[in-house]
Amino acid sequence: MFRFFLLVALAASIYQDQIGTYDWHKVHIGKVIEIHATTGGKSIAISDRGILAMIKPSGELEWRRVVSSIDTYPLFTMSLSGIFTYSSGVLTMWTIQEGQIVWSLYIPEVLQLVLITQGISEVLAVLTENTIEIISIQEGELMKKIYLVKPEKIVFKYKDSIFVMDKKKNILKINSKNWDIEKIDFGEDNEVICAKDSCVAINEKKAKVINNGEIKDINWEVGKIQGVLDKFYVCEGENLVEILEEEVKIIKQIGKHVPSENSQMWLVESSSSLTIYSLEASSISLPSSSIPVLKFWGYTNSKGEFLGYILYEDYSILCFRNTLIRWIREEGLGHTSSLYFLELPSREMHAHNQYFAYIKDHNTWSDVLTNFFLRIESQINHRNIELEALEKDSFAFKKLIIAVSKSEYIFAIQSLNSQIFWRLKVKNLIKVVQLSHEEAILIENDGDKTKLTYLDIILGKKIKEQIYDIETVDVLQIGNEEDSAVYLVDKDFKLLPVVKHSGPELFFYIINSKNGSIEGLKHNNGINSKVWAMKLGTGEKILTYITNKAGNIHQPAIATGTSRLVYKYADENLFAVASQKGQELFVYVINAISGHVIYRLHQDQVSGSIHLAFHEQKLYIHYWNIKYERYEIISAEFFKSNVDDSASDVLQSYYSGGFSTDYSSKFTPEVTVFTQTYVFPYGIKDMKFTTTLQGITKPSLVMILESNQIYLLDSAFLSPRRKLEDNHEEGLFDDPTLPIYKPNIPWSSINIANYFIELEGISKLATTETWLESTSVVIAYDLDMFLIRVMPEKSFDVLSEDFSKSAIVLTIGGLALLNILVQLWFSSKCAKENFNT
Amino acid sequence: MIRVLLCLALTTAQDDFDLSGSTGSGKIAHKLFHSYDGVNWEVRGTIQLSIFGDKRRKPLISVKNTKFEKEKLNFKGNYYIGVYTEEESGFMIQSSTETCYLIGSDLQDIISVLVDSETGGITALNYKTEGKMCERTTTAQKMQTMAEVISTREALKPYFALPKPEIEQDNTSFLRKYWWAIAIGLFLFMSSAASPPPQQGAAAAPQRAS
Repeated sequence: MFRFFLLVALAASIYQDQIGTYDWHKVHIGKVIEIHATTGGKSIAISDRGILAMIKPSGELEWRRVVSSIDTYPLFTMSLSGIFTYSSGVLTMWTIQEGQIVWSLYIPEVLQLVLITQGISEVLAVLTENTIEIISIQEGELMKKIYLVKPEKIVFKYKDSIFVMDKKKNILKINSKNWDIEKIDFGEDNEVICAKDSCVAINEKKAKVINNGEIKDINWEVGKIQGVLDKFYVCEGENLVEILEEEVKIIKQIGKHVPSENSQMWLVESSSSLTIYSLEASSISLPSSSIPVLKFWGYTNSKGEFLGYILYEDYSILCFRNTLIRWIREEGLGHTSSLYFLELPSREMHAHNQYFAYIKDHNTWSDVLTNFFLRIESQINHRNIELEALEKDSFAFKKLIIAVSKSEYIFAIQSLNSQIFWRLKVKNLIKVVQLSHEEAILIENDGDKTKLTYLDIILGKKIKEQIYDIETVDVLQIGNEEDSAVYLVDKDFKLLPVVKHSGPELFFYIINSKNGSIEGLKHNNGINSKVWAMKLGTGEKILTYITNKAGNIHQPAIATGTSRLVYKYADENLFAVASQKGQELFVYVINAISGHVIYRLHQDQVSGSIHLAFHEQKLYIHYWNIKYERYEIISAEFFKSNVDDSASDVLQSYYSGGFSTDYSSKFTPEVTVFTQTYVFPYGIKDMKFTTTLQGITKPSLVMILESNQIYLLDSAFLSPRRKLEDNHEEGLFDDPTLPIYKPNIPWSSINIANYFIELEGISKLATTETWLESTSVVIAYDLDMFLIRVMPEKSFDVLSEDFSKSAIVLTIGGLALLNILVQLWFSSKCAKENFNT
Repeated sequence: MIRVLLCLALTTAQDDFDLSGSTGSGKIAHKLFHSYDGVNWEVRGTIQLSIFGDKRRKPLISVKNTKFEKEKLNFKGNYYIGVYTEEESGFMIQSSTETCYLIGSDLQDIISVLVDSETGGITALNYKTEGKMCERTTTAQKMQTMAEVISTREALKPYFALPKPEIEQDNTSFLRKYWWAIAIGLFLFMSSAASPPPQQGAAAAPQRAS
């Protein structure tokens, strides 16, 4: 009976209806450079990533358009008739409501777009490097082209005149009726500052001013100009100054402020609130955020209501109406450059950590006694620990994602509900290293010094800081949860341990892409010694590299259909380096410990970006083939050359030198490499293998296609051991379960992981494992962020809807009963036999 | 037609090999250095490479050891070998092994080199020992070196099998194909229908009289 209980083990599984319900998609546009309020509470925004979007009153996007391509800075202007953008040589007019293109035309190198009125109609003035082109907004036709000498910017328009400043600080006054040009010598050697309808060039106490279309000299005794607020100048002492006919006048002192980008309003930050003032002396207050404000746009309507947008330093943007916050968009995540998955503590772990953190600071006898009673009380009352949102779930689906933004902020996102729990300003972050389930180190480098911030990952609070006087170029992290080590690598590749490791030796390698050298070093007792070094061939340029993410190898050997055992050469110390020389691609597979080049592959007629994926014994290389004008994937698999044909072979090899699955990186076994080339229909931005906890599930290849789709590819299709149709010879490594080789990888829309969701600007992938062996978490990020759970071998550990719990209980119960009956019968039979004998 | 297709396929396949830039054959000697501590280096011998004009042909290699002092080996450390990319200056390509394995192999070592087919320069060294035994002493006095050149594998080109000649589909109708079977069937049916039905008495005939 006891034997049955020994067989009982915990199994992680979920119901079928739970599949696919936890994916989330964060839609971003990036850091807003201009935003306008339109009708119906909607807003039109354009970002520095080249995205134009209409935002609903709820803060969601009504529509989103890529102006030309991601990360091309756009020029923008809009009026009631439409939106005008310029990017990558294309001037486009868009409709406001639907975001549809009305017309577009090619103009090289545009500096500025300004809408002007010509008579009763509105036209678009386009400033280029040597012209100003007037374009009709209805058809996008060129109406007039005026040649100018080195214009810099259109400073303002006044009545029928356009005022253009050239690079010599002269002002060109262009009459929009007859297109006459009047040149005004203005700035000379002085700095020229322009407001909404005037320009000033200050020379000590005198200033040359263009105001109301006229040029004049006036006394300037209000100090240096610090900024501009609509038609006013903000001078020394934060005084708001207005230019009158013959003089300047201080209107009021407005203090330290953020001026509105579009109106006569300004914002004042304090620790408790944000106060927004308008020149009419009215103001409103909004709750303060700890994050500084970068920009502010404000409007007032006829009722005197305030409406506006506040752009914060972390690129988040807030929309308000009077004192009510309408929406906040977290656009800092639209600039995610890297991300880390951190494991969350379980309830028990958290309680344990809390307890030890408490007794660390409370270690007197009375504290210990108090604590003892508290523990007894907690056992009786079962008080809940308030940690549900950031507490590990049963399957470890819930993780803390640390997204590193180019806004110099990091965001902690809970992976189940995509909620941001905390954010921190971190400059020049090199790496995030998790030390325990509640603690991580942020490693920053500002050139001369390296700062380590120990962080409580639940609260996002700093525990302590350490500063080292070294320039850290990289961080090495080795070991496991119980015995991990963190080393800082300085510019001379010296290692400084910041978290100790019990292991005596550490091997690491340096890839120098400048001179094409790769060196392997051993770190022992604080001293580095070079173990191996190589230098790529003349003219070869290192493009990319990848380490073998073998992880847990559950199946080190593969049983082929012919009852043979073939052994993977899946050394975790392998890495691959891709280099290019002209149109030739070279891929080196190197053992980082011994420095042995295991394999060198050559492919000709290659261009474009090279993507590598390396897992266990599989290496895939994606590239563009110039000759055939198609994308291809080279698949290589590494096996040990020895093959066991029978159980006696396995035993024999065990007794002669250990299992064939064991290997040491110090020695390179004889390796058999299989390669094959496949045709893949699409270009990709990134590819990675899925990872699972035990490595039982066969990994899938996840790819971000250039069309921003996430594609899952079964790696069986890419096996280089697929036999050719006309090859009937039997090989030692043949696997009859693999399909016959077909060069074209079959395309299936079922494998598109983002199904019908339209993603934009994703370029990087990260994967992590869960406690459910079938399931891997995949996140694609950059502009958008999309998280999905992937089951490469389907949901083999998922209970079906009609799973009968009663049937399994009855079966086990029946077996247990049968076992008891058989035991009773057998014992009575034995007793009888003993009695008879 | 199939022959023409086959020839075309072969011509395309031959195009994949780049025969341009073939250089003439020649011999290149590289000084082989070694170090007992990874710091102090001295000449151990020479690596001689014979390069062929055809890039696809693997270069030939031979190693000549001229200097080796067994007593300098530190069995706790590593033993290093190296080759300079330029004449005794510049970057040193190097490889090493734990000395005890070299002693355990009775000073039998294997030097594998990766050669830049354009210049004949050595780009990487794989230094291995014959055995995997870690020992402190050996009776061997001299190095016995095996040398080899690491091959560069050309990536396979996608293989497109020639389309199989389509077997002409049999469009003959069922009736035309199996008319004889139908005819025999019909004949048997007709003949059985034409024979007189058995009488009732006859049916009872097999019964035995009691």
